[in-house]
Amino acid sequence: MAGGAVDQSLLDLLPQIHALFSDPLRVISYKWLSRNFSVSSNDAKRLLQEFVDKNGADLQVIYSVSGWLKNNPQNYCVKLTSGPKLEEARQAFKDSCSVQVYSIQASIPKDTAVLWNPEFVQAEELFNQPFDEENCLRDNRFCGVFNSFVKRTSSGKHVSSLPPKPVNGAAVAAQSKPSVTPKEQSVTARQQDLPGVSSLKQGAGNKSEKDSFTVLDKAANAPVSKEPSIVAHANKNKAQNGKAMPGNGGSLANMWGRASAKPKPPATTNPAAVASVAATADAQICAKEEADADSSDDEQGLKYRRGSGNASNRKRRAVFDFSDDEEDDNIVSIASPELPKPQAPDPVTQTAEDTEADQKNMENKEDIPSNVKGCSRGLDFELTSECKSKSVNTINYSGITLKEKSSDPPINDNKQDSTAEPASTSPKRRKVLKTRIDERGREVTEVVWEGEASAGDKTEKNANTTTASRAAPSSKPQPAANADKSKAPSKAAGSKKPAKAGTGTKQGSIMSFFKKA
Amino acid sequence: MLELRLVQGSLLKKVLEAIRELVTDANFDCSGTGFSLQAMDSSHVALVALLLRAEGFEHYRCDRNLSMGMNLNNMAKMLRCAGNDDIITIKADDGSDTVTFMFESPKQDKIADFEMKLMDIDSEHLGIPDSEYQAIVRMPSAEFMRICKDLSSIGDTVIISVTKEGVKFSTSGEIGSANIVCRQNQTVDKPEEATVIEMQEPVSLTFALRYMNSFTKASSLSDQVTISLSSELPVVVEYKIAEMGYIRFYLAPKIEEDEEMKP
Repeated sequence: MAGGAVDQSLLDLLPQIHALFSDPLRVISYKWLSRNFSVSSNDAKRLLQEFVDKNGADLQVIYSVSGWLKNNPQNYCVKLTSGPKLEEARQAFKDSCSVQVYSIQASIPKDTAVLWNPEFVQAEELFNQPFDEENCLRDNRFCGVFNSFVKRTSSGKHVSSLPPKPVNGAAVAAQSKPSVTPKEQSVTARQQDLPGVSSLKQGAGNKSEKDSFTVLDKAANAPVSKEPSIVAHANKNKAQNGKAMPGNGGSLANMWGRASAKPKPPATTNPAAVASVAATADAQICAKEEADADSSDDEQGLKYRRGSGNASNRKRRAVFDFSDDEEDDNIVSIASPELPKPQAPDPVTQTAEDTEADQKNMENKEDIPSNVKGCSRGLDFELTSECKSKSVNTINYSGITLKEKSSDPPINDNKQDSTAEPASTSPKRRKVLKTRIDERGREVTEVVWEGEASAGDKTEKNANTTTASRAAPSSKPQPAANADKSKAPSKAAGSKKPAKAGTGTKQGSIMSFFKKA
Repeated sequence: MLELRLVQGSLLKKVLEAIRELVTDANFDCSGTGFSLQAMDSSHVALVALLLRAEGFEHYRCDRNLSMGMNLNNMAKMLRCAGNDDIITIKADDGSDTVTFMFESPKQDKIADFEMKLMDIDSEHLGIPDSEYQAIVRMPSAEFMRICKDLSSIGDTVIISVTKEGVKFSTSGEIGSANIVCRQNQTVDKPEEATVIEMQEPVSLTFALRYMNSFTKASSLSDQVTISLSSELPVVVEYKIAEMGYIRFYLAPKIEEDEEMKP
């Protein structure tokens, strides 16, 4: 237990926590608390413990239990568990496990992502603050470890901005504490392999992982560039972004094969917000591959932009090319990734952003036809795309393409460009969905990497499509987008349609409805 | 001893054409009440149920219940030899492994016998409960056929949504998407052109178009088709066979796969 004496100054925060807690939907995690009040995470845990001790009756507590497992002494496990199950969870550990309050809330959320959301939103806000403003994430003040290897430069820019990473402690440690990393990662892997691990824990796999770090060295708040393993990342995405899954903006490119699989996001109020968080492992892997294959995209991205102006490709795989030097500079200068929009943003900030968005819509609209370079920050991108997906008509980009794009944080743009950029010299590969009906009548959808050989061909093609798109800027992509949109809001029953018709469906069997006579 | 004499022989021809694409082998069950068939397609996604009531035959004799396994393509081949106006008589002896189709021309000046070998078919007979459907759409069968045909050129699946406004068929595919809305329309001169929607609550289901398309092969049997929809139930596409019975197609909906969406 994180007991011990708690400073009086900390205790003064208790009424504030109480006030916060009165919002029944709020999850107060130690991490959030720590950042919000700029106290160390250990203090935050103690504070929560104090709060639980005082008001234990009417709140639900999620504990993080960490220690060596009984069954296999090699496994160090961090597990999130709810209050009633705490004892049960402790049984699985050796004697000396640590139990700390992870979060308090009015009720245990069904979706474990809820636990993590406020932190994510918060981290994002902190990162979005002006660069000259100090905050606990940026100055790394709660990091117990100082390491000369940690460079807050652009080193991580290719991967750093992948959306859900910001609070990934493993990643932090990977950079800040190289010596520990292998062990920790293997721990992670084992944790995920553990058969008996509760779903909660699975869902919070990354968090617990992170917890172990905070327990060890409180390093988790450091805003260092992160590079978590993609596997873990995918896991996290699956587990925590459950709601966003159908809208996986990042994989939209893969979905062109079956346009029916168009996202639910259009139906949500803020598509950009959803899409931006929802970049999938696919997209990331794809991005990573591209990055590996061709790391000097910057130039090409530029070339492409100049070559084709800002006319979007008529091909729907065309990618919105916002990347530009200015933005790169920004990133370099701060070295902390622009965070994507939160999945379920804090209402307050959300409205704030919305108003901002509205204000900016006008100028964005004006900007777009002439040049997209006006956007220099991640926020702008999202706004742009948001405004565009709202008003697909005036803009010569397909709204969907934009969504795909906006799902990738700015720093990825280069890679993304190369993914879809026809002029790229790297061998172009694209994912193609092939659907066929197998002998049992089921529809089988395969994702196939299709390579295209010559870059010359591509360039040619690009030229063609580009001119075409100039001539008839919005004719082709638009109907699809519109149709999709018109479908979504049509009725309650219809809202699920896009997903239904696509990947998410499987053919039921008549045998499951009628019994044998 | 079995002897069924059907004056309007073309009905049987049409029935066979309607189901042979879906089902290749099936047992025809003959009982005192009528001549029926129930069979699933090979992938067990669709089911066809046919009933020709005894009263619809000019002469119906069935001494004891008999199940005759037939290859429908072979049967269709034989029935194609009958003229459209011919009277068809189906005959089988107890314990025989053949069935005989006799075609008489309307003027009785030509009589043809076709004997077909029967086959043993293991078939699973399913009990189909009588269900209340949330929405029942009756519309011209030609219209439905056209819609299915048109949509299948765009996509693989059709989403049938019934609301107060009407019934909407939508699909989307690589080239784009399509929505066809049919509104309730009972003010037509001819009753067979009416579109009638009885809806308890809105329903929206997704189906594979290729099955729908093969169901519409039965359009020649009836001017109207009845589509009954309920969420969680297979759709029923029913074509009435004038004064004799019906042919019903059941198709399991495509269901959303949501395992991976759960946290």
